Amino acid sequence: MNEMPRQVGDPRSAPTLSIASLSVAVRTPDKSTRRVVDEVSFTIDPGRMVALVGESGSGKTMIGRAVLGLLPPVARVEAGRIAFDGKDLARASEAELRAVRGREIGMVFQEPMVSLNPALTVGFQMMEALRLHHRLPAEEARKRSLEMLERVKILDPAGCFRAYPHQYSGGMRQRIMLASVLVMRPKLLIADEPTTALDALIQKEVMDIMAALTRDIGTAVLLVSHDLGMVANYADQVVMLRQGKVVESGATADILLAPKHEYTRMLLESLPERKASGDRRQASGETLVEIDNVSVEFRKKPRFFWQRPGVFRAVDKASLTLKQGETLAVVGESGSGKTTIGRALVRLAEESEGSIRFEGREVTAFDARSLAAYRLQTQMVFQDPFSSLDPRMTLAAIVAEGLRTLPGLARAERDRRAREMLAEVGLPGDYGDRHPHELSGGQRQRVSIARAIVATPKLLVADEPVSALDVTVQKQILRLFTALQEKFGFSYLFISHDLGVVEQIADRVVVMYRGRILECGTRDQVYDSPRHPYTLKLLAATPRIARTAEQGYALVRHAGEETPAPTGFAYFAGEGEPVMHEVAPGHVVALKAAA
Amino acid sequence: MRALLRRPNAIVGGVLLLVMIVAAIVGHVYTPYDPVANDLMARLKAPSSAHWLGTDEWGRDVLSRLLYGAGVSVSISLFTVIAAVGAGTLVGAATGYFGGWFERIAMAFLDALLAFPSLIMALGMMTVFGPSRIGVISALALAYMPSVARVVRGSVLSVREKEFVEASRVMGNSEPFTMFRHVLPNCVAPIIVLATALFGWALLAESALSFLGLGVPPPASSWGGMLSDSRNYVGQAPWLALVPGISISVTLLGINLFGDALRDQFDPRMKNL
Repeated sequence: MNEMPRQVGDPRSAPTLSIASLSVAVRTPDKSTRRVVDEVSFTIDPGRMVALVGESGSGKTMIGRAVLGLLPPVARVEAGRIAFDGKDLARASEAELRAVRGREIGMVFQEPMVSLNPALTVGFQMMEALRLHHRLPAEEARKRSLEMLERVKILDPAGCFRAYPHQYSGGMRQRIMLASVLVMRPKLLIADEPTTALDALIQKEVMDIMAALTRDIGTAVLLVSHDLGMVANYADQVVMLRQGKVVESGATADILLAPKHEYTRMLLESLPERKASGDRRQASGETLVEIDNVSVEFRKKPRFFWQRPGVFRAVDKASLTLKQGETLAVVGESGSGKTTIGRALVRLAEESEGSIRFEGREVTAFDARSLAAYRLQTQMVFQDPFSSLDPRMTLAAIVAEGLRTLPGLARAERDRRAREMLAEVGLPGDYGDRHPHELSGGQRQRVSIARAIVATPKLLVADEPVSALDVTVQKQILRLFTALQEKFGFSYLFISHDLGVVEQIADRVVVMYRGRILECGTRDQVYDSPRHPYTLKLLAATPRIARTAEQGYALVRHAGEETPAPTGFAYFAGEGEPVMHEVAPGHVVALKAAA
Repeated sequence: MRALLRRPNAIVGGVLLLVMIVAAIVGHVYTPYDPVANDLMARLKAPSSAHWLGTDEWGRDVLSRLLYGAGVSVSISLFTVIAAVGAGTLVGAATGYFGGWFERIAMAFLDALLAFPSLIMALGMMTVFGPSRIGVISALALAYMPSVARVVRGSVLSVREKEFVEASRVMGNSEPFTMFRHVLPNCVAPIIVLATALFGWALLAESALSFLGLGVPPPASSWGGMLSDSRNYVGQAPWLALVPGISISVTLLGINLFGDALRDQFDPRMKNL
């Protein structure tokens, strides 16, 4: 293979893409136009990665789409140049754009399942583009495709060639997507939130492959992302956007680690950070919830209705305790069972074995009446602020419903308390009369919280409550959680995949993997001296930006070392039965029983 | 209600429907001529001052038959739609929401009904019931109920997975409450759209049944019956086809406009549009 060497800082090489004073406007429903991209300029050199960073509504995705000529119908380029390979893509005809897309400019989107055709084999899709754009003979196209699959570290390239996209997990699909784009050896790759839908470990794998491969081939990368830690780790240059305007741009280290602009600084300050454990109000020490050896099973739909359904264990003999006034975080990747354990606790999922005790009483044996009483004590905050509120109801009605099962409350009283609670979460005045669609994501999440706490429960299960939010909004919501806990003394079961958020809010942390609990301890124990290799891997996979002592920022990566398992034992890795071993007071880790 | 009247769709649709309803009521109280009286001296007369909308092949006054038929046709379609949508919503919501064995059996039964051409099934039922208004209504309602149930079930299935439904459960609300408070109201849009379409189908199916001699027994008039009677005379007396045809179309237009407005009214997201 004749690969182009990386042309770092070569003054002779012209930039691959050069965007000058680009403005994009959208038509709003009331027929006026609004600029969503305003006079944006930047360049990308061959083999370099430039990240467009900003919160939702910053116009970062629009810029990527404008380069491809794939703007939505309501948007159009108002002014500016998109110079690529001697052409101005802002003024190119549809035919010219088609010739460039795929061949010269590749694209990777957030959802790999949508961008791969589920009805065609991986091989067919990879070869199709090669044969279409490069007019390669089938044999040659096949050879190149297989080679590329190998380079994105697909274990069995020939098998993958014959397989269909649905046979692969999200991370694998994103690698396949990457392979099928890069096999064309495009000059420019546009990656729009390519790993946002993936778990931390897989995110790192995909990004590592993408960075290395594009550097080898000499492909310039336009990375669109909201993840500051990831951008700091991979991008050469950063363009910081806010409401369509460039706030500042330059080398990554200059922008993210020594920010000059106020907005960048505010974003960085919004990143979750650890507070000393002494800052937090101490939990009372009384046990509120005990989950003991609980398993939750789901039936897999059989292929034919006369077959017995298969069983999938989402949670496998998990035990944990939650004290009054404490925040216990459950972390893990998707499929680890962290959500299911929360759902079992609020009785949205039925356990197949084990016991759940709330204030010493067995929850699993509750009849309808005690269940109704229990539900006033435990509430849930959901992940998706767009589907967790009934679109037909006013906010006051939504929140007031949380009081419906409380006996002896008149309708007017419920409404009054609902509005009070809305004010408590930062939605005062006439917000009660609005409908969910009039609110932003963060505001909706506030409503969801108000609904959960209006009947002052003792326990709140929060399932990824801030994952769908921008960092600045995320910070506000986390602060709200903390303030409410201080005021009302709630206990939280905080379910999250985001280790940064957990580090900020949790008192104790449980790490789950494939339905099992691998490690459990106080936040400091788990973050500072993780014992299980999996925990260590998770922590190392997510580099984050942290404030240094002297007003600056630094990219911090967890660099702990694997602690050997206690003598005679090995760490439990998902097979067989684990033995829970206490390595320090309150710090438990799963070991494999010695053979 | 006042908000509803601010929508142009609601006003136009409402006026058309009002005209229809007034015509249907008037037709049962007063008609210029006896709608079933033959006058063989005045066969196939074009519209004139004596017969505003002309006469048919038996010399019957078309306007009188139209007015009388309005009551027959509209009431048949209306009750068919009400019965089909009512039963279909109940069955569809129950199967969609509760699932399990109940769903399997109910859906198998509905699919069997659905597999039958609805007109054939209505025909079969009519031979059992004999031609009568109640017979037509129950036959058509049964024929249309499965498709309503399917649509409702589909949208219940999608709404059921929304987090606000789970939130309702976590708050301790009972299943029926959750169903009626959160799930069904969010399924209203497709139900209204389907109901307005059903109204048209029912109007046409009624005419098909009349045509086959299984609808409202002659000589009583219905729009469908008038339309099918007119087919031999379209060349000589086009008004015979045009008058009931236009009436059916205008009624459908009114229903559709009103249905759209109603659907938007129920959806707070559309309030300011």
